[in-house]
Amino acid sequence: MDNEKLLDVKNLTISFHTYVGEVAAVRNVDFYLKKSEVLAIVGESGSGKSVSTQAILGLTPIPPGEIKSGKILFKHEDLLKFDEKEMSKICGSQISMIFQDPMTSLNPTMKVGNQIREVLHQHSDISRRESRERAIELMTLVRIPEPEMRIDQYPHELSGGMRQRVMITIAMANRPDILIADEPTTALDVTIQSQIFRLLKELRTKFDTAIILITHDFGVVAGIADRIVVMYAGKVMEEDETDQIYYEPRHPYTVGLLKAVPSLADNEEEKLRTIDGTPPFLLKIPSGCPFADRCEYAMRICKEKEPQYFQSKDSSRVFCWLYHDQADGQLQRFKDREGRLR
Amino acid sequence: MNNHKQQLFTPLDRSEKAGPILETETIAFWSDVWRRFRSNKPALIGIIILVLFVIFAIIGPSMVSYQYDKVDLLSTYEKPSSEHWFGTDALGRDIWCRIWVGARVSLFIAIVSALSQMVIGIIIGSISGLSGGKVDMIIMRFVDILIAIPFLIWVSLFMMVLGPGMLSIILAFSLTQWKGMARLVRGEVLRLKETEFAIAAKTMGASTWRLIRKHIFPNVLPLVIVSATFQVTNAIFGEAFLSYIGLGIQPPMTSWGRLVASGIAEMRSFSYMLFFPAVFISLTMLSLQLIGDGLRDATDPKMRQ
Amino acid sequence: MVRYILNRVLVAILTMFVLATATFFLLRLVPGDPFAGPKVVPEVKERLRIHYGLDKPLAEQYLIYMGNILRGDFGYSLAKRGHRVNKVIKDAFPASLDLGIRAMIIAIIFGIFFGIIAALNRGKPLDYLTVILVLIGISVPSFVVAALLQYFFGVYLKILPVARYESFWHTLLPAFALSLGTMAVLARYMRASMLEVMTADYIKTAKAKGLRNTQIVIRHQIRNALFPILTILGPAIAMVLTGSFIIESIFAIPGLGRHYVLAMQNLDYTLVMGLTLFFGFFLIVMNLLVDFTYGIIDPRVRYTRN
Repeated sequence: MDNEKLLDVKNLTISFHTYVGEVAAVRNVDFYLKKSEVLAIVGESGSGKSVSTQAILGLTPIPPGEIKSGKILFKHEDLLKFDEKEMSKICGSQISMIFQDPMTSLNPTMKVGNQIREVLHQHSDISRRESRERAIELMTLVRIPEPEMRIDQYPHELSGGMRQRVMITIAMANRPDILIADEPTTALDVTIQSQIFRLLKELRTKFDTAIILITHDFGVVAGIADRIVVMYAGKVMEEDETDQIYYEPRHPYTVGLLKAVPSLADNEEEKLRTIDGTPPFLLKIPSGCPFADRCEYAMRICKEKEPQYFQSKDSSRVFCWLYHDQADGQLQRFKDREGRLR
Repeated sequence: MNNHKQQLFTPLDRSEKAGPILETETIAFWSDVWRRFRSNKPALIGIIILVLFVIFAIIGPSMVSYQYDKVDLLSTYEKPSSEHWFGTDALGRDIWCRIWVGARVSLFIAIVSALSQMVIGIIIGSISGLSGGKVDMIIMRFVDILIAIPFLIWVSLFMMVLGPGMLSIILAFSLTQWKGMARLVRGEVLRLKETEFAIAAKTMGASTWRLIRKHIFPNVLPLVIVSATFQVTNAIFGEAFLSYIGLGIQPPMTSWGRLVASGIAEMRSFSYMLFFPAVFISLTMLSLQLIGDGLRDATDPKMRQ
Repeated sequence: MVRYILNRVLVAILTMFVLATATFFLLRLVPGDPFAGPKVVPEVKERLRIHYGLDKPLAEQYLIYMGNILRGDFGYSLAKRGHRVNKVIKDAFPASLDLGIRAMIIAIIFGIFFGIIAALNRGKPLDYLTVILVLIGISVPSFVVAALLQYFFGVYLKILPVARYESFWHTLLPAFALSLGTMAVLARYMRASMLEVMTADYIKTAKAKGLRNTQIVIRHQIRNALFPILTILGPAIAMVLTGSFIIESIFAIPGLGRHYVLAMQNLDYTLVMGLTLFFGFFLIVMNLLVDFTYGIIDPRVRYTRN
């Protein structure tokens, strides 16, 4: 089993030291990624999804950040133990990343072509002419029209969708094993969104690249993800295969997120809903379940004790007291009320 | 799985849950500013130095039995001693005494001209921002022209017309230095004019004056205060510059600028004559800079959590 | 872009016109008599007034003056009898320009260097040291610094000439003294600019590409941090120019700044006017140049103006 795991994040805890105190952004998070699969990490902003994935590439700003514990095993080696030189060999070549806002994640004063070629030169010994040809080739692959012209343009001369394609070109340039896509379409139009996702799927098939897709929007993951990890307040709330999560969400938080997706709630009675309240401020971590105050099915114990993970299959776990043996009654209520979703 | 009291598994009542945290924690703005300003040690040191200087400017001259303009030809160029704490100058006048009389003049000029620039700037900036259109354009063009030429040139020209003296200096600064403040206030007024609360207040029939007083003024105030602090620095330097080139304060009255100027003239033989005024003027500029930086950081919305 | 340039040039011309008019009328208001002196008899004074055209009505004087300016003629100096203002400018400008350029070069190189060093060592002793030096550079008036430098290196150590402007060694002290304030301002801006760029998303991208920290700093951070610095070059030039008034006086350099100060003391208002307009013209042209260069170099600006 373990052999299949390309990336295995174990017990990751990351804090940020701010002037008001220590903020626990990620707490004992585990997830893994198998070869060429797509894992979606879903959660609201501040859930720790970006922080935990940025740690994989060593992008956590230290200070103020601090990685308090954990391991990030990539091909059985702990990336957290790598020094700058070793990391720079991995980044951009074996693991790469694209970010939310293609407007700001490209250097505004550098031609896009040079930004693509930079990552080629960094990881292989090729001539300037070869890198230019290769860059045009790659740009064609991600369907940037007129790559020969675009290559000498600056980011602001491209549309948002084109810029994100440039970012994808950079990320895929060295055919990485893993692509981390941090909200890759949040800043884009809906029509462009689907194009980008189609492109990502295509590239994944072509290059056999495993993808970690980070998003706050359950609507976008259905068509692309194999497995889903739901995060909240720096914790993994639920983890399961995509179909399982869609048809039988087990955590009330997951249910809340699913209800917020327009297409899943388009029947008349079930109107689009948001989850009441705000996520806890991670300066003072609540003693019980972090979701308890917003949870419709919260029980006394939820406020007092942190739940454990209740495992059903290898690939499935949920961080919720409802699945404790003694919570049968409340679980039944949950199932009755939320059954309509299935 | 460990066993828990079954009672723990009863549903939680809505009232037992914590309500959503409202983000608008209404710590009053100025107490928040003060809290952050207080934790800024350099700025606090700046305040202490300035307060000390002001106190000494008031009581300093009367701490010794000399007059700032009393010529004593029997004790010229005396080095600092227990008689004359900072020594005496070419005419035997006590430098300690002259420094603090000079401080009165320099600080008075700086503070009054900064205040009057502030008032002029706020008035012109608000008129420009509130009226918009042609008036705004003409005023801003005028500001552009004022900005194109360094203020020391403008001030020097005005000083030639007005003649030397304290009032002239204040007038020259006030007439030429309101431009930055006006720009700042105008920008802020334009921004605030578009914000929801201003529109809401307007639609609810608030008068323009009330709008300025209740909504726009409190919002511009932090920026204006920070900018005014830096204007005081400019005025201190400007006064020194004018006095140095001979267009400033005229003898027997003195100012820090004049003291530095005569110190430079006598520097080779009597370096203490430059040392004391130079230190005081530099410390004042430094303190103002530190206070200005501290205020800017403390009032900067970006720095607020 | 062409429209933008035309617009800027028009505003520049308008500024010059307003400046000329303002200085003309301001200086006609100056109390005191430029021909005053115990030995000057009234008839001579009257002749001088006629000679300099001061007997004509103000409007006529203004038109004549403006006409002359358009032809590039600033008239005669009042205090230095027989000296044309143009000649004074021609003789004194080279020294001032030389000094100014030296000071700007020193200020730019060291200012940017210190700014980078401070930003890269943020929160460490080197950063604090730079910040303190910057504060001192801003707080201590230039004439104090100049006088101290002159005293220390020229009088006390006797390793550099005290005054005048004749050889390379003569240029060192005044150029350095003149550069300090600007250097401090540039260092401060560069530091802030570096820190701002440091948090930009594209720096994260560069890291995710596998670039080493030094590569990121050189290729992305410094490069991008330098662009905003260009925008304050205009004010920096103005700062050096006004700084030269005092530095030239202290080091007895026969430049425009020294003439300007002397002219103000002598109430030589044709010379003051001529020099004011010359300075104004110089700064406005410099500002235009800086602006256009910025537009050409920075692709973002280039784009938005098209």
